[in-house]
Amino acid sequence: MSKIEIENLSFCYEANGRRAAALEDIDLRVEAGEFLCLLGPSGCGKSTLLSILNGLNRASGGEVRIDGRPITGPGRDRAVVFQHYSLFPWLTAEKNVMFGIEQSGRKCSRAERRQIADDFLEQVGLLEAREKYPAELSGGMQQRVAIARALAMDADILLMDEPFGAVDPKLRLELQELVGRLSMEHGKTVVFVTHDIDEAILLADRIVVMEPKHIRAIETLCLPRPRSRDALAAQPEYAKLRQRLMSLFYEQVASHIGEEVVL
Amino acid sequence: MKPLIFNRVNLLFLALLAVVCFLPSRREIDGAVPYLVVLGLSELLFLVQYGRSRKKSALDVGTIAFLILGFWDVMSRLNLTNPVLVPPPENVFFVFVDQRVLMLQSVASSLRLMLISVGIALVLGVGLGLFVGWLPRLRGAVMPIAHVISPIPALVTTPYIVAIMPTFQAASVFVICFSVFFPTFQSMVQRVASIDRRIIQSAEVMNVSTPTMLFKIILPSCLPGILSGLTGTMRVALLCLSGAELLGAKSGLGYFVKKFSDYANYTQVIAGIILMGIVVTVLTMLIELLQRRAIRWL
Repeated sequence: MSKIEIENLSFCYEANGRRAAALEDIDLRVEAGEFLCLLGPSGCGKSTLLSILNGLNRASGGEVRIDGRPITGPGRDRAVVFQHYSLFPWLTAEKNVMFGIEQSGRKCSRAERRQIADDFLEQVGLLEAREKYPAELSGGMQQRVAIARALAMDADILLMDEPFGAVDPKLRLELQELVGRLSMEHGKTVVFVTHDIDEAILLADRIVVMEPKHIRAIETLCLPRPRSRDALAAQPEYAKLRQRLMSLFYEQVASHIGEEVVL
Repeated sequence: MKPLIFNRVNLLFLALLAVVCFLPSRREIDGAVPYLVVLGLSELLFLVQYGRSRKKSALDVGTIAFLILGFWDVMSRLNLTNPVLVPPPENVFFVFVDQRVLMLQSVASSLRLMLISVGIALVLGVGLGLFVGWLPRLRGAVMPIAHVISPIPALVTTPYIVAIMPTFQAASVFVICFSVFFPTFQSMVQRVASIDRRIIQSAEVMNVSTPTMLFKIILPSCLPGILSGLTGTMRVALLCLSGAELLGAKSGLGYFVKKFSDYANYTQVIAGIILMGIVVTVLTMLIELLQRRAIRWL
């Protein structure tokens, strides 16, 4: 049994009174401890797929199971990091993480929660900012706190929806390596949505390339994790893989654009 | 650095002192000391404000305030106005000494009624607004009714409410609650309904319970809006309270003004109006302090 099993999944939404499909016939399995990237251009349904996994949307057809049980909504077995900065602005960094721990249902005292929160803030390198409010932190720092919160919630599965899409490119690399390392250390099963090919190669065990509504291809990476960008660049496989993904990605973007031009 | 001492406000202050000392009043004066204290306090306030910021606005406000006082004082001294309708400033400020007990009682009585009724209305308005705003079905059912009832001016209901309620206190509490509840309730519903979806989503994926969602997520995220509406709320409440007090009270700020205006004692009436202004200003300042304290995170 895989950690996450997606079978024959479809998702429809109402637009202008008509039903439109966002996902069709999606079949996918994610193994425990695996880092899976959903890669695709915007509008291909990758974020929709993640929103079904995190419980905010319900599948229109098919089934999604975690540890063999169908999902019915958000759950304590999953922690989520969004692209937008999702911290609560009225809580300090530390209190935000503590709130996550409280919601995870672990029985522990306030002092213990504080201890755990500080521990995870230290792991993302923000212990000294624990008394700061989100508005006092940069976007990258807020995302670090969100990662600390997700890890501290002690869920097996980490769902990340373009978490670094709005972060400064310089900081992005730092955060990518941080997530790569920490998800490994904590043995998380990760589903990570991105439109950045290099990000996917740096992080993933498998890359699921999506085209609108469907899975186009799945690439398995045999490079050991966690990876660093410098070490990757030296691998001969890297260039080939990147080339393959580029052609998959852009061929599809081009056909998509062509479609729109015709329409 | 602009000079703190040599400017037109201080010049006006000296001119006012000179008027008090050297221009004899043709009217009967109860005592000049309270007026001089008011002048001194205004000057001190100006010096502190201007000394801290050196803003032009402090100069302008000081100038206008002293010009108004000076105009009033000089007109009265030269007996150019009706002495009953425009009493000398000395006498008006003397009321604050002469009637201090009644004034303090009035302020205490008005504030007590206002705090009770605003408290009830805020708790009800925010609490119910939270639930109605969060549940779309309830919102659809309740809001059309609220839209019909809420535009009725609370003041209009005052004579009727005063008549049917057992005590005047109960009637004022009811009228103020009525006037404060609906705006609070409606804007709370609006705030909850239009809350940032992203905040709700990040709470939802954490699988929070409904009470946690309402009281630990939605309520704090609405807090800045609630607090910034408080100044307006307080003004509406004061309007209704003084309206009610004018009609049937035996105590309070409105009663103070009404009691003396019945006997054409306009000196006391003007003092009562000034007292009302002071109370509103102090309340506004307290609310602003509360806002700064409670929302450090913005």
